[in-house]
Amino acid sequence: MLSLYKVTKRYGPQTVFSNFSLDIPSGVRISLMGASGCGKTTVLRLLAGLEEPDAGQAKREGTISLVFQEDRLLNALTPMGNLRLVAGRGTSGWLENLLVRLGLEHSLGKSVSELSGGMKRRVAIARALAVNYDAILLDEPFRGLDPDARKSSAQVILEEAQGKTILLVTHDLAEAGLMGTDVVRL
Amino acid sequence: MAAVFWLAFWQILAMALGQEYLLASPLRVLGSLIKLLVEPTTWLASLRSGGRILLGFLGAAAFGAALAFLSARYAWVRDFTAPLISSARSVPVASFVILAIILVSSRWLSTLVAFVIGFPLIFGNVTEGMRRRDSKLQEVTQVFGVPVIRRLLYIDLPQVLPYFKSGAINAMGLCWKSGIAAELIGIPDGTIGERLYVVKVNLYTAELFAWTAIIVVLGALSSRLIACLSDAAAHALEKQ
Repeated sequence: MLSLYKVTKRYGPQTVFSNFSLDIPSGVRISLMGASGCGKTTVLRLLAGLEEPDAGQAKREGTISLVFQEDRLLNALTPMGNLRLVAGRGTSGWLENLLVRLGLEHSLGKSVSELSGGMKRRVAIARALAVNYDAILLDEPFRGLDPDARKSSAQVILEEAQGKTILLVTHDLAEAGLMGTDVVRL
Repeated sequence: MAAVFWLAFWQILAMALGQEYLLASPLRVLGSLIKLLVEPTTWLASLRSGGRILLGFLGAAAFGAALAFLSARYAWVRDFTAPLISSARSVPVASFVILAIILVSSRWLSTLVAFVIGFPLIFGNVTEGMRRRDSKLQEVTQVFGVPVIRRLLYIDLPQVLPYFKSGAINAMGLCWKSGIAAELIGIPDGTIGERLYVVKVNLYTAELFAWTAIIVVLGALSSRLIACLSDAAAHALEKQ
């Protein structure tokens, strides 16, 4: 279960939101949509424990995984190296299979710095799926992916995160549909 | 070309002064240097002084880097060590040397002084490196709960190593300068400092220049060694 209760968050003089509450029961899939700058990423950061609210409470039960808005990969490592850095579960074979399912079979031996933007994005998705988690937070995970890659990546996420809580931040209603989520507008 | 000009200028100045104890000519210095280089005692003194200075430097590097990592992680370590760091930065070398002569044997004087001089420099640089680490990668380690050793090897060390290298190269040069200065005050047996003391008392200017050249070369070689080792470590971290 993830929840924000009467949360206020400010960055300097700017109040992102005040008295904001959100409850996400376990196993539910939600898409968070809204205009740029309305605080969607801040909601994810509060739920992931990367930010503290100025007022109110952020609660999370269980473990969290996250696809950041930026890839945040180690460029000198291979895709597998990036997964191994965080992986709390799975054998090498399982991790390799995860990368293959995300369409990275020809990139396994390359360092991340050699990969295209779309490939890096899929490595970031694989990394988030490689850890133990009860809820996965996805901050525009399909940014830079072509429609086919978007569809296949969404499929892999849904298979891997079956029964887990999914919170997706997106601008695209089609992505929310692809992930089979209910939409909450900020 | 510039070097030839300045050597010629030095030679002419020495000839014009005509007082060898005031300014020895480059040719006389070269003669003294060759004479020193064929004497086994020169190598022994260099080895002895170099070994002790290097020991102090290694202690400074290990302690300074470890303390910087701990300070970045724990605020109480940073607060607790702040007075120690500012003392090491501001207290004159001579004060340390005199205190060290009272407290320890003059044999280990250069080690202690090299440590005290090198430590704040390396601490400062590694602290700066830790401060400038990519905060986005730090968040990755936080979210995914990356174990400390992996975090250190894959994320922290590759980012901090260039800062360590720069601090260590500067520290190495200063360790040599201050270590030899300490030996000159403490005069431990069979060291470069002792040989310089004899040179000073007898006004052997040519030998002073020759020893200076030896110290500069030893310092430069040590700094080069540090740079090579740091590069090798960075390469190994990249390849792991």
